Amino acid sequence: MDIDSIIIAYLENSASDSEKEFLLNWIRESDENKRYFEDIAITWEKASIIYPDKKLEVPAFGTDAPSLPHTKSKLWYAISGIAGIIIAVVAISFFLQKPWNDQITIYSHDTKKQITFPDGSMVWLNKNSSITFSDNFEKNRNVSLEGEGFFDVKQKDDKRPFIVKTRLAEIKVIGTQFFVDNSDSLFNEAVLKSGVIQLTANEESLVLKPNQKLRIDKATNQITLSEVNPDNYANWKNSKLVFKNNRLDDVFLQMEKWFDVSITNDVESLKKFPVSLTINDETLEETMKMLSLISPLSYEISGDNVIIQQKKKTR
Amino acid sequence: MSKNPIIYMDKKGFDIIYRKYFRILYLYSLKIVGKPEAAEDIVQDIFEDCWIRRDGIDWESPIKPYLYKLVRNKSIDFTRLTANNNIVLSSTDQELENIIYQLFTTHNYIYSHELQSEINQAVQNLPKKCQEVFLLSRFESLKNKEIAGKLNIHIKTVEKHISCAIKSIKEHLEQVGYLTFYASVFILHLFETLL
Repeated sequence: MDIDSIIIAYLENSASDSEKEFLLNWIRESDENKRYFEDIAITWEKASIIYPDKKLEVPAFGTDAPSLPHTKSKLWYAISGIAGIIIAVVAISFFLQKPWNDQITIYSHDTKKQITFPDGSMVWLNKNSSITFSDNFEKNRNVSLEGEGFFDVKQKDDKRPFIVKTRLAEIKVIGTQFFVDNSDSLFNEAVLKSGVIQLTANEESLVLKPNQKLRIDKATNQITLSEVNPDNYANWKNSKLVFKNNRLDDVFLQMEKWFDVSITNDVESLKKFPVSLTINDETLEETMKMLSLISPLSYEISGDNVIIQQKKKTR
Repeated sequence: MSKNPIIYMDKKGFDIIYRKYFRILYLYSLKIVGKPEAAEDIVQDIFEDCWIRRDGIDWESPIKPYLYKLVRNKSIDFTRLTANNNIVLSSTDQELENIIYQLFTTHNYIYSHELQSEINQAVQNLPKKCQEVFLLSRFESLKNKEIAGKLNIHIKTVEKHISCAIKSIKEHLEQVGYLTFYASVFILHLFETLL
């Protein structure tokens, strides 16, 4: 028997006592041997973590999850039963999303769009975004979002959850107003204004509370949660932006979404500076000019980027 | 605010953890207790207990080392409680168990979706029979003996197929650079001990 087979026999608990003894002596022989053992053991462990992937074809004996071993507690049956149902629902809705159901996609291009769904729920799409749903929306309230959208979901219905899918996450709505942004190439964000949403990404599920913002880093899959003012993320959907003694950094955040630009401000003292103004159909240039009159800032616009600086003192 | 434990563990998330780790924890416990039914009960109990205590568990930090630790303690307790029932771990068993415990609890951070997809890639390239046996053991969680019965082959053949699968997965991981990383971690560790 070669050493690889003995190592694997040990890991799989089928090695005899003499094989185990042989293995241990072999490991002790050299660091090189020990490392070889570790490489095989790590590979074995990683490959033994059961993590079904759609890409893999499982033999046709059945595709069930590993069966739960015999158990003593009724609670456990309840837990696994419910979890099973949830997974089944998600799996079924996945198949219902397949192309044989007619898909409707609405693109906002360079304007903002408001869409009302058959159940009364509404979505405001920001510029350069799109939303896709199937023609049996009444039965299956699943939508896919590219870009930015603000959702106002009506009719809380446990049997027909409203689910928003993005490239990184799936958001299950429990009656609510919330905002999703996955237009950025680096991050995916969701902000909740009211109600409750449950977000699933990377096998993890979490529940978002009002005024919380969740951000997923696309590169590392790291999830961070922070407290925010949801209006900063949702006001772009209105016909005008109204500020009354708002901090400048809040104003910039909303302007970014309103004008679809990026505003960079590294001046600490300006961030908390309070301003009051209303933006109707002013252009970015006009608004920046207005801001420079009512606050101590100067600015530079180049394409879609605005850089904020401290206003130089004039003698 | 962001420092608070924010990951709320729901049934769906918990079920995923359960299905992911049950097998490896069971096989690990079996190395200590030596009895399949006992190992199964121990791991089952730990999951039930974790579900009940779910609000007190920090789900943000890596969960695998924590589960291994719970399984280890409970398995060792079990052997002590039944010491007069002839479960005595030989020094060989103890030493091997110690090596893999250290190994499986320190490398957790490497686990990632990319690694998983590399493993899947390797599994797809396995010879047909070898792949079939491997998938049965991983996805269906069948014991080697059950696979042998199902496919009507000898248990030694099953072991050979699994061994062949692990070897090709390892080779694939070496090619894409995953295992070299372990090697460098190891070398770094060696330096630390020398200094």
